[in-house]
Amino acid sequence: MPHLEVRDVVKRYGKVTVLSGVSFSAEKGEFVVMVGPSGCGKSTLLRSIAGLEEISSGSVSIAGRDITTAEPSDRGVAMVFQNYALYPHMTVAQNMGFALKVARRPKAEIETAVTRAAEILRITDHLGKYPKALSGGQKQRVAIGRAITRAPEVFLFDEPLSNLDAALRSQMRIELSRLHRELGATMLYVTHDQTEAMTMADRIIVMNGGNIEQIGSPLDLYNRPATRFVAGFIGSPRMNFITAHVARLAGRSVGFTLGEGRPPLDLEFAPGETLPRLGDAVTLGIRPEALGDEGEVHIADADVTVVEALGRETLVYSDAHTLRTTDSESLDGYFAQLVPSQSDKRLGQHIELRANRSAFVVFAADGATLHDASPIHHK
Amino acid sequence: MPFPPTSKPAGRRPAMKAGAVSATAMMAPALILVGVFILIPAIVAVIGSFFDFSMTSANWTYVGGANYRRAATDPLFWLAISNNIFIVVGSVISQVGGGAILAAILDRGIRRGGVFYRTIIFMPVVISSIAVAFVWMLILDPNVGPLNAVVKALGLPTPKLGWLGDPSISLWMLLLIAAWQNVGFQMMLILAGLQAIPKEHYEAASLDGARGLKAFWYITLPGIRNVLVLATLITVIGGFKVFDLVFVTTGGGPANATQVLGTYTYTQAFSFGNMGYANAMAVVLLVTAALLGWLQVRLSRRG
Repeated sequence: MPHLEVRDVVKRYGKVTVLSGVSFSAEKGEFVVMVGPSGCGKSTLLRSIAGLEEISSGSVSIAGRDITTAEPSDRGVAMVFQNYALYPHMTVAQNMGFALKVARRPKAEIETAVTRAAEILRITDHLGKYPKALSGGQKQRVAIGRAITRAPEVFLFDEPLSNLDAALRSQMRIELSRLHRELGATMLYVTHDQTEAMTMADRIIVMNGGNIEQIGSPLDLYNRPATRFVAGFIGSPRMNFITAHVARLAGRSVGFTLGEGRPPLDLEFAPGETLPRLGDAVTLGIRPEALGDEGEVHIADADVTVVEALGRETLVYSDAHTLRTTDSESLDGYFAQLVPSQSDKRLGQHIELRANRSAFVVFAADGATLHDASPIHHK
Repeated sequence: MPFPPTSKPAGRRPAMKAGAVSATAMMAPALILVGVFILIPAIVAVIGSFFDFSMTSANWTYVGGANYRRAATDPLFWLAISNNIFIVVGSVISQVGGGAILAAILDRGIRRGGVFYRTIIFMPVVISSIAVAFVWMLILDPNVGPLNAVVKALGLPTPKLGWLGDPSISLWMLLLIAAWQNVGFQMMLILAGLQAIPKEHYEAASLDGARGLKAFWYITLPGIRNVLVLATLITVIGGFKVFDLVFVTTGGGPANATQVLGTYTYTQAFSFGNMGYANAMAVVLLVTAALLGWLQVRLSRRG
């Protein structure tokens, strides 16, 4: 039986539907990350599970118990908020022990729980301080400690690292993963940051417009995105998308236009993949790391417009003039390309954009994936 | 250099010196005003409290602590103080308590019209006390006032001597007028305090098991504690200093029923010409207000 089960959850605010029938489940001890752009409903879903929002229909159960209408404190969940939400007039220790105090647990028990949580989070030195004397990272540790002392069935995290600076964020990512291993607890984590999702999750739930687009392991989502949305959301820099038409159909071989007066690009569809029809408008996707000087397919000639040296590799944006990408990161329809930093791409340089046939992903007009790329094997 | 500098790009020392000079210059008007209108009169009052003199006296007679001893044995002085205390306690209950209830209603209780009600309730705060007093004298007038008309229409008895003329209720009436005038101010203070508590604190508390009364006790009350202390102190000080409202409506009457330190001091000074005695009472009031003011500053710094 799943530890956390969310079934057909609908949430409406008046006429606006924020969640339109969302279902998923999490096993005991699983770290599940819900990711999506702002307004996709991920926070509302988390808050609905916490009991801070009343759902319009559907059900939520934790450890086999239906908690759809239970009070927030009776659900067996603890939540960590984005802006910490520490009680300013209580010390760190009082903050962490507050839930137990409200539940009228004996003092000794509260102290043991607080001490243990403080040790796990290495904040023992700060127990007597007030929140205003703490840094952002310390505050978030206290907020996590407050959750730990309650020993909940499910931990809920609502973008807990968004208020921290980049260095602290990557450090806290590692700590949260460690914490998850140590506690073995079920954790549900909301973020809009796909790096957090990729690095921490056992499974990722990608949400968009109040629906779940795809659920899967980080690499699953990266290698086999179910929709164009997931393909664009997971992976940084974004996948390049090109609009194309089906020009040729022969068995499982499908030819796509790559621009006026150019030979079509033939891709072999695997058995089981849905074939498009002749004339269909589709989107071709190709990851930035799959674009290079070599490859079976010549996609376009282009001029380098932006070079961003990232150290290990270099991010190159180039302008292919007649062939433009849609929905791209740079917004100008440029192609994004990740190349080894040793390569000597310079601003204004004329380059060829090439890729192997196996690197292309094909999406139908409704966004569903028709044809997957093969995972890239780096040499 | 093509352009002359607009300000002296001097080293650190001269800049600080200039800063100190300009700071003094900036504060000078306020300091002069405080000195002329508060500090010097206060000093004169303290000195005068040890003398016997009248408005037109050429000579002041030194009497030592006689004025203070006189106050200690003057039943009217003690009546005035007890009336002040009555107003202080009544005002804290009606203004801070009432303001808190109104603030809570505006914060949570109503869905729309919050700004409208807030404005309406706050409006009397900006009216001068003299005008408020006159408006209420009209309302409470036993012959033409609307209050009597309403009470009579309901078939209830009205006070024979009038609302302000009956010694047993006139002080209550003053309390009511003061509350009407000031409750909006306290409401605004407390409302600001309530709205400064982040929503997440209540959400975190509800997950921690604190809802309703417990949330009020553990989250709301500590959150507005400083504001409540401030509101109470403002009200207490106002209650001791009250003068204009009483002076205009009842003048301390009937039969000293509404006599407060402010009006009694005024009466002794300008009706009976006992300037020395009036000064002594003014000093008592000053010390009380100063102590409370110091307390207010201390408590508000703690938050």
